[in-house]
Amino acid sequence: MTSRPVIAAAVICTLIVGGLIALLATSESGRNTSVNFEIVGKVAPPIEGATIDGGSFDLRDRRGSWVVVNFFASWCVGCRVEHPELVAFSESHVDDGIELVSVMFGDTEQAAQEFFAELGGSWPTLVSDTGGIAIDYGVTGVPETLLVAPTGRVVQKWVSVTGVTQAELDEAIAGFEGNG
Amino acid sequence: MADRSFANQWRWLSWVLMALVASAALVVGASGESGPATDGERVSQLAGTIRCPQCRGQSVAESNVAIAREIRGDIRNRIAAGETDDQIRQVYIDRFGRSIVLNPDSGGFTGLVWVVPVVAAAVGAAAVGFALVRWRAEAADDDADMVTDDDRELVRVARSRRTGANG
Repeated sequence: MTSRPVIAAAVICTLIVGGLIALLATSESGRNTSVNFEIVGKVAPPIEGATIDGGSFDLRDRRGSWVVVNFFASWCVGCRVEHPELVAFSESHVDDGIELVSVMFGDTEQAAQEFFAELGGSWPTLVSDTGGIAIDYGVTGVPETLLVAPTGRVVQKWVSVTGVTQAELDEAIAGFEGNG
Repeated sequence: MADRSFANQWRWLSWVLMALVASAALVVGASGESGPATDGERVSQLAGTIRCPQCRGQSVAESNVAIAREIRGDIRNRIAAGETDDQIRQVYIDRFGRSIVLNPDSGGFTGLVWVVPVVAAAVGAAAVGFALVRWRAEAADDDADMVTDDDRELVRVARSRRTGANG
């Protein structure tokens, strides 16, 4: 013999707990998303600092140009797969104002130098105090590549275990230029 | 009879006192100030509330992947620069989205996550208390209904015999 208030309380509790489970299961924090595209559409955070060859780089000076920002590490297999594509992309855009900058992530300066010595590439590469830049760009791992439009906004981001390709970069820039 | 009533009152009073002490302990424990945290403690506390963006179900305090290490270092730098905990948390929300924070918001729709368990527990406790009181009352009524006049007569006879035997 179960009294009505007890049944009512049980139903109410079941509904409340069920609702709570549904809320947690469907909320944003309930999903495990390791890829982060929050930065796309926003103004590109500053990238400024000393480069691997002793020079300096400041993204603000590149306003008006397309800039490809690549986050990499020497221990990252995907970065090694991707690097020849970036070399080819860089060489094909020597004179047209499209620039490439690499930012070391979770690595040492010496390892990054050896990485470039081994695989080639002569574009600006930042290697010291780059953790803040990676966080500003919402990087979760490497390789990650972003495209900064001449307006200074991030318009695309590529996250892939094998990295971005020259064709993907060219296609994206051509697409955005075509759209005006 | 008076002793029984006094004992009953004491029993209820002890329960009320225990509930008061437990409530006071919870309130003091939840709101009590334990003194200003050191920078190191703040780094640990904040890192424990930020989800490692590359991991599953781990905070940046627990993970040792590159981005977790970078975020821990960044938290340390921001604390040294004088930023508040809320400002620092907001930095990561802006860059990685709201899901970067492990603790749900205390406001808005998500705030239900904090309120609902308390309400459910209160409703459950009230229902159980109500049911117990009702069951006891029903049981008392049932007992009263079960005693017949014959039973009462038997008890009276037994008592009178016992009184006679003792006398």
